[in-house]
Amino acid sequence: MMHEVAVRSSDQDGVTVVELEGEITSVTSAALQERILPLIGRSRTTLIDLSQVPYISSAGLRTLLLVHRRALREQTRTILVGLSEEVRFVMSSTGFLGFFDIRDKAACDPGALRE
Amino acid sequence: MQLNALCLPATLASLDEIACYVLDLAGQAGLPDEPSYRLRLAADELATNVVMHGYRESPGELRIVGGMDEDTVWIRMEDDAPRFDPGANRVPPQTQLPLAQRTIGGLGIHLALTSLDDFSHSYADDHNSSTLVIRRHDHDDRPDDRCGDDPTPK
Repeated sequence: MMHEVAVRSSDQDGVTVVELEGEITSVTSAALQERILPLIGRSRTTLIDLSQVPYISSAGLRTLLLVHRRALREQTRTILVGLSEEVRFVMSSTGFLGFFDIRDKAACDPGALRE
Repeated sequence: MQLNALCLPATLASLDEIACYVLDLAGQAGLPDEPSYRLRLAADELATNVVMHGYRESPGELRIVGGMDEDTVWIRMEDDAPRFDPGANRVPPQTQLPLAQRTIGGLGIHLALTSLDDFSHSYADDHNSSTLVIRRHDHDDRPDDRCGDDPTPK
């Protein structure tokens, strides 16, 4: 199993696209937080692609909570795409799902998200 | 049928080995992806809790054994940390509060117990023993009572 989550970011049409790859666990979440939090607020919209995240535990929820708080502070919006059914289950059973803008990856073109 | 037991140092570095053990067991039992995920998640959360809060990151041991019978796949986890019954310490998520105002503690235990079809805990001879159970069949007719909020995307 991978011991860190790869983070790739790019700015496209005024949207910061952040692609994550790997399992978000109590082992990997601290390093992920250090890398992802500074990306929140770089653009008005952050699109986080979770399609290569096959596993998330409560440590991953903590990371998402910190992302959410940072986005509120920076007055930016966060969109999540590419959630697997399992990741949805983890977010849903803890009451996280309704607080994020969750969209289908295929229907999410950064150019169309620009405000 | 049961697998050979694992005896691991109670550290976060052991969690990967626990995950491999659980997924191997789930594979041998022929569990579909979704219940395999739930079993791994529960074992991961409860083991993490023992490491972080049971032993408080001081040296200790985690003993794991898993097996299956006709109807269930099960994992038994033992530790020598102070007595702690996850079932008696389950705190539901504060779904009435905006996300930004919530405390994050306790979500792991809630997730673990929500994921399992059955859970029991006992304490004897200075050992905690937790048994995690997933049913092998009837995954299609589970009551949909585990969702904490509306799964419909905004």
